[in-house]
Parts: sequence; C-alpha cells; structure tokens
Amino acid sequence: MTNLRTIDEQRDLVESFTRPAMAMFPLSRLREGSSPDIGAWTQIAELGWLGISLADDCGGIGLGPIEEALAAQTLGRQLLTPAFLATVIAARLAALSGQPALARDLVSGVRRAALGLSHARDGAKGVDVQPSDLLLIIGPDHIALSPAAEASEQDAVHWSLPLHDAVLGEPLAVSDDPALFAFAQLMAAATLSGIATQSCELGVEYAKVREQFGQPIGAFQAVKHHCANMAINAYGAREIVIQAAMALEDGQNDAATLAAAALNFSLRAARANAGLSIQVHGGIGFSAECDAHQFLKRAHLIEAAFGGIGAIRQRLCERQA
Amino acid sequence: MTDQSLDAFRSRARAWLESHIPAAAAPLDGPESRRFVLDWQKRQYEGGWAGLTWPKEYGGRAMSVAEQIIWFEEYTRAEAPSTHNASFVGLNHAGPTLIACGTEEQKAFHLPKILSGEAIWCQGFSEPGSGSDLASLRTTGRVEGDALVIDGQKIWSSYADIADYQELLVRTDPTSKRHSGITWVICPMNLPGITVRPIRTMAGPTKFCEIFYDGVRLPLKDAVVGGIDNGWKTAMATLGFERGTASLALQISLIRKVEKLAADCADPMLLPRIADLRADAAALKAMSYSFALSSEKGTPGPEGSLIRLYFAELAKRVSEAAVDLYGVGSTQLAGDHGWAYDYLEAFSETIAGGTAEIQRNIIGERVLGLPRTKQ
Repeated sequence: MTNLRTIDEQRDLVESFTRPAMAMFPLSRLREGSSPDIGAWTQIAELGWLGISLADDCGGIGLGPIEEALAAQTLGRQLLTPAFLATVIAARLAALSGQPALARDLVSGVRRAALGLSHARDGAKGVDVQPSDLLLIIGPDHIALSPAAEASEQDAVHWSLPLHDAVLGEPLAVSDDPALFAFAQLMAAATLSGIATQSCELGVEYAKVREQFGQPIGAFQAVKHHCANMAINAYGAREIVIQAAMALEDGQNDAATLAAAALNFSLRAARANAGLSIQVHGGIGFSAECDAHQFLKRAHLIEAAFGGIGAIRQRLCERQA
Repeated sequence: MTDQSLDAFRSRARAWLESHIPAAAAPLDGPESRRFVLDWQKRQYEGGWAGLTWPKEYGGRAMSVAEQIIWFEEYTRAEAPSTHNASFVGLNHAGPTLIACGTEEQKAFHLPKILSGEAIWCQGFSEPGSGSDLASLRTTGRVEGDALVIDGQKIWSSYADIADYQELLVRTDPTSKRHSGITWVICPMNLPGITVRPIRTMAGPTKFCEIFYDGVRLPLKDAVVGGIDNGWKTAMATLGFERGTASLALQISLIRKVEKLAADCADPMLLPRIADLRADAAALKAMSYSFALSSEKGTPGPEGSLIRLYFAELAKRVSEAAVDLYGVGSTQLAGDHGWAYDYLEAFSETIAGGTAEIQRNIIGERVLGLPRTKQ
C-alpha cells in the first residue's frame, strides 16, 4: 500500500495548538529539578494534548493519528515528561478496552500514567513514578495499566529522571490489540523523531557559533559531516513517522510493520543524533549543564519502555509486509 | 486524483507490464545493450508509458507525480529491466534539462527521440582533473562564426560508446574561472574529431568511457542550451533534479530488494541487520515519496540532496548484507543481475554525481547553512 498525499493542512493545524510548547517547556527547566512538568500537568491536559486522536466520549478532541504524531514530534523536541507518552497510550488502552470513564480521567489530567520499563526482569520499574500514578507496562504480548501501590527510588543519578521500583496493584486495563501496539510504537517513534530533530538543530547551531583555529567549527569538514549525518537521520525519522501515521489512519494492512519500522528507525536516529550532538558540543557537551545529554538519556528511557533495541528489532523480523 | 482513479491506473499499468516486459535479461554493455534499451523504450512509448510527467507537446503524458510513483511501483513489481541503463541520462537528465532550458527547436527535435527510443544520450561533465570539483573543468568551446569548436577530454561517461548525443559542459570563456564562462551544449557523438575509449568497471561491464575532442565543430544554434557562458546554471537545474525525483525508480527497486532479503533470511546472526535495513528502506520510501509529491507543488527543496546520499549508502549496505546472507559462490550472487553485480556496482553510488564527502559538504553548507571552510 502506498500513501500518495501530502499533509500541509494537518501541519498547520497542529502547529496552531502546539505553539505554546516552546515557551511553556523550555529545555532549561530540565536542569532545575528531577521531576519536571509535574506542576504543569493540568495545563498539559487543558491544552488537549493528551487525547488528540481520542473520540469525544473519551474526552478526546477527535483528530487522527497524523495530527497526534505531528504533535508528539513537536512536544518530543521539548522533552515533555515520559509520563506524557505513557498517559496518551494509557488513555487509548482505556478507550479500546471499553472504559471511557478511565480514558476521560487520563485525558483530563485527573489521573496520570508513568512510563514502565518493560525489559526490567526483576519486577516492575518505571520512570519518575509519582504517588497516585498508574504505571503503563508495554510487554512483549500485551500492554497493561496498573496502579503503582508503592514506588521506591532505584536510580536517581544516571538518566536525569529518577527510576523507581514499583509494586503493582490489579491491572485496570490490559490489551493485546495489535492496533494499540502499533499506536504505542507510532507515538514513541514520533517523540524520538522530535529528539533526533532537536539534537540536530542544537548541534548545528553550536557548530555555527563556536570558534576554534579562527573559524566556526562547522567550517571543518569533520564537524560538517557529523551535522550532515544528523540532518539525514532527523529527516528520515520525521518522514517515516508520517508514513506510519498515514498507514494507521487509513487502516492499511502494513500499518503494524510501518509502526515497528518507524520506532526502529527513529530510535537509532535519536540515539545517533544525541551522541553526535554531544560530540559536536565538545567539552561543554559532556557537562550536565548542556542540554545535549538529556536527549540521549530520554531516547534510552523510551527504548527501555519497549523492551530495548533487541525486542524492537525482533518485532520487525517477525512481520512481513 | 481520486483513490479510485489511481487504483484503476495501477491496474492498467500492471496489466500492460505483465504482457509486455522483455523475456530476455538486459545486456549490461555494448551494442546489445543499446538495441535492448531502445527496443524496450520504444515498446513503452508505443504503449503510452513513456515520459509520464513530461509535457504532452513533446510526446509526454503530463501525468501527476502520484501516477509516476505508481508506475514505478508496478514497474519494479513486474521486475521490468532496471532503469539504471543507457536510457537513464536521456530520460532523467538531458531531457529534463531541455524541457527547462532548451529552445523550441531543440525540444521539438530531441525530446520525442528520447521518449520513443530513437536516441541514447550520455553525459560529458567529469574530466581527468575535474571530478568532484566540476567547476574546474578545462575542455574548451571556441566560438568561430556560427560554430562552436570543442577541444579537450571527458571521462567516466557511461554508455558514451553507444550514445547518439551527449550533454557536454565546456569552458567557452577562456579568461573565466570556476562557475562562470561554462556552456551546456548538445554534442552529437558521430562527429569527426571525437574518439571514445571504453573503460571496464570493477563490476564487470565496459560501460563508462573516456572521450577525446579534437577540433569538433558544432553549429552554435543547435548546440547551446540555456545561453553561452550560462552552463553552470543550466547544469544545476538538472543536478537538482537528479538528486530528487530522477532516482525514484531505483529507490523503489532497492526497497523491494530489502523485502526479498527479509523473506529469505533465517540466520539469527543476520536478522537484526535485516530488521534495521527494513526500517531504513521504509524511511527511504517515506522521504522520497514525500519529497517527490511536494516538489510537484513548487521548486524542490534542498532535501533532495539528503535523499540522494541516503540512497547511495543504503544501496551499499543492502547489497553487502546480501553478500553476507547468501555467500560468495551462491547462485543468488551469480549472473549479470545477481547480488555480486549489485554489490560491486554499488561502490559507484557514493562516487558518481558527487562523492559522498562532497555531498556532505553540500548538505552542511546549503541545507544547514554551515560556513564554508577557509581556503
């Protein structure tokens, strides 16, 4: 199947309601505390960002996966808390499993889902699990949403956000629907494509202004070529996400494969670009005060939620278009 | 166009291809290759499948990019002959340049011949001393009355030994440097003073050539395209095109090859690589379709250079994976159209039309706005 249309109108629409993101969520906020965006959760909900493609009876605004993916690309650039990605998927899970009330609570910000790390083998773990959060676990065969009865800090140092061990209550919703899985992969891929794009832009801007040997470092071919590689990675990630979103919207029979491909590609693009951006930034890039490392760490957290790169590749080995 | 009419178009394309693609495999070089390519082009023209996006007045069909994409998808699905053959320069390079910059007489004379399979074109851009640095070219064109007299040497010109015409870049202003003072000319290949020496490639075929020009006389008004001393601009019109939509058929074909590898691969050590290649191929498709469709609405953006480079490097990785999967000595690698040929041929992808290194400089400077290196 092939999508032969362009999406300029959807782009304009999404631009109009994600415009506040840059001012509301400047990257500088990530240097200040370990649990960003907690205080802004109500605002995020009020902007309608948590239910862009959900139906009205689930509290959503009734647009499609293309608009939702475009929004996730923009918000991914600002590194919104991973709970945003988790809650969007959780609301979809609630809607698909016939629980519109739960979906409405998630979309309206009454309840929040934290992102679970599914390749953790020694019990449930999540990213920045707050008291009263639910935990979304994306397992190999199903996606589950459960209350996190207890959460204790497991690693507060390495990933810029705290990781928690969680004790889970009875699941509120469980689904093995392939369409949900495709949606989850699409939203993660869109977020990662935002990370790849932002890493590229920050690295390129720095290469234009940082001078060594009497000229901007971006004039040197070795640095210029890193930048060109970042540009290709980011462009590919943005476009494959849009193709996957179109396939999902149209109910194409290769939608699941494309979603898996989009996650695979965007993950590698995000990790590569984050690493290159750190390299281009040089010594400052290795410091915590530079934002470059935040993108690397976030890419790894999203990857871990889907079971790691091995599991992500595995899904693409199983499916034949 | 509606989805229904595109579906109907696809069905017509599929049906025509099923009953018309050549039974024999395409020869890779020499006079057999010329005959094969012209016959196949003629057959497509007579069936109404040539120059789908070209203007109607020159024998084209004035169709949409969406239809062009569908045609290439069906073309690849039917395993029709590779478009990377002796007709490529005429159809994808010289032809579009003439459409953009040629006189009415030039268009009326040449374009129908390209579409209907009467003429093969080659390119005369690179020189022994001017490869990636094309603007340093030294082959001269001297105006003498109403003639242009060519002296010099070109190289790496694919199919020059079997071509009828050449798109040729010459320096017409001897005092000029770099990009100014260059002219884009049409050079018939049968003129006195032209010597063609074929060169064998590392992939096997003898298809690219060295060409010597010794006082070759061309009538000015037939030869010059886009104005004297304005050749750099004329060439850039096509190079931009080459980096965008011209390679769509090759890109679609590469994507199909990846799916074949994925279907054949049962080696657990290779599966992760194949999984990544499937994702990479899907990204290539997403980029090239989106770029082709958006270029229909206006001037193509700079993304074409990203796609061109990504395709080149992916083509190398795909054929390398095929060599690793099937192994040297396997039947899948053997033959004119086997994976060994693809693998070896792919080394040209990151050299021809600007090396990957030059492409990265171009992306850095023209797409990202990074400063040029101080000389």
